[in-house]
Amino acid sequence: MRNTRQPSDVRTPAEPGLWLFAWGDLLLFGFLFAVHYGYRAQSPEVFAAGQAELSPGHGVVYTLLLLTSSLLVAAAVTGRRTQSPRRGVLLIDGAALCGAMFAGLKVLEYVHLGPLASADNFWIMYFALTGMHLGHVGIGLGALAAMRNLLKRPGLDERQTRMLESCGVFWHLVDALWVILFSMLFLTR
Amino acid sequence: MTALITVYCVLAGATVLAWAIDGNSSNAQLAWVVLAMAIVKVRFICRWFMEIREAPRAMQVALDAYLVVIACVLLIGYTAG
Repeated sequence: MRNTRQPSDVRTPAEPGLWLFAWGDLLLFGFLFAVHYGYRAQSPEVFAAGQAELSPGHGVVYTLLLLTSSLLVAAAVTGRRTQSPRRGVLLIDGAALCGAMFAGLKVLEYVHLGPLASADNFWIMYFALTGMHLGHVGIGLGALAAMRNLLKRPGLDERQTRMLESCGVFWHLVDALWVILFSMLFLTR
Repeated sequence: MTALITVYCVLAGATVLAWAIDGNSSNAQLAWVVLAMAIVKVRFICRWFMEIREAPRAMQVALDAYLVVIACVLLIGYTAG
């Protein structure tokens, strides 16, 4: 099969430093996934009982909120050259609203499940994994605020474009990590 | 934009489908399917939303290698439990 990519089509979105951070984050979460399954292998009945307390329907809502916010961020980033600043800002506002709803629902869930936090290894891993992820959502909301400020400007230079893409890549990373957490924790019992 | 919306619909549809087939089940084969679907969804997010499809080949290969490792962790880990 012929390679149809031209050299001019090849470009790395975002800042190289952001990718270094993203790869580190992916490796860290990969390690935590292995730890989670290590504990699960030691006491499968404890993990089954813990998972039974979680609502897969709530997990679907969390996932759809983050997927929707990712779509809006991707639309804002890819359309930055053709769309009006106002449209870009509106897309980011929509993404931030979805992200804030995710964070708010997660906090409510923590209030409800809080007493279980140190009950057994399942709940320790659940709060460690989702808590770290929620921390990323918080940082991501800050990144969305930075994107909003950038998109208000009529034209972006190369450095500002890379900054915009970096914030977007970080938000998509948050989404991608949640997709795995949802399948591990809320489904696959 | 059309491509992004198509990808979003695939991701959202796969999420609801995974819930429908595995939400209240403890069937190991279905769990494998759901975990494999999660890996494919992450690949879609990385390629289309993060725009890794436009990145140098080495980065695309590194992403695929990472996803293979994570798939092994999830599938072996789930089976071991």
